[in-house]
Amino acid sequence: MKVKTQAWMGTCFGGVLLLTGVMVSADATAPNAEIDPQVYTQRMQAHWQSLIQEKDPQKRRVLIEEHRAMMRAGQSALDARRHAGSGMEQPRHGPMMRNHAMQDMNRMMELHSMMLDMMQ
Amino acid sequence: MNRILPVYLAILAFVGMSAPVAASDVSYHQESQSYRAYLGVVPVGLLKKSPSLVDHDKQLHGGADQQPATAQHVMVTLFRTSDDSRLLNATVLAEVEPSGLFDGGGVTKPLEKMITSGTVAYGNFFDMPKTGEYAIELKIYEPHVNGYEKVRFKYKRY
Repeated sequence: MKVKTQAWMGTCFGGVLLLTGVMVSADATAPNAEIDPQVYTQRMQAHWQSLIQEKDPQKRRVLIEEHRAMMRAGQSALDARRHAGSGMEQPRHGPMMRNHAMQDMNRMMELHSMMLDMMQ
Repeated sequence: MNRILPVYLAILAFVGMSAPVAASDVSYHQESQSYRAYLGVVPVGLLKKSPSLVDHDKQLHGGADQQPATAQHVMVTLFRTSDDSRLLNATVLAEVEPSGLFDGGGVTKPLEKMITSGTVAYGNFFDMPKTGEYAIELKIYEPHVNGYEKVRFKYKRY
């Protein structure tokens, strides 16, 4: 009984470690490689919250530049997706842009760009 | 078993701490039948004194310097779900209320049309004096369209 319990716990533990390894690997490859628009949107939203909560002006300036860099990287990734597949440029409102997650990411970045332009 | 269990638990705790934090249920984009809305909020203290507006003679919603220090600039961009086109001439009312109760204790204001960075958005200032969760409800009207549609957001002010 003791041996069976240990084996069961070992299997569960191994599964958790494997899952964590996959999650860390996925995060390490974003955003330069293929990005998940939904995940990237959430990351950018979290970064935005850090930015607007930062009280120190110098640190906030650094966060603003980081945010702009994230937006540039995100836009590059979206543009790359838009041109991927057939190798030909996709029409503006074609199937690629119909993907809600990509649309949401694009529009969120647009809104963030507007807000950054309004900020000191 | 007694020796191994604490080791398992310690390593599981470490794994738990290094795992990504689950996303909150605070929402930044919501959809009604005909519209998709995107929400952006900036504390008034971070705004420039005179950002660009549709009407260049007008100060941003009466002036950022007229607002209490706890005010937030709430702005949205709106799109039609039918063809993904942007709403350029909507009338938008927003009610902001703490805790999402919608018991009549919220503040309702029109969201003024703004063009900033060449893009149309709708915004206004709302005081959010306490930290915590707020509900933001939009009523979206369009010319030549009967009635309005509602979109609701949850926003967490830290």
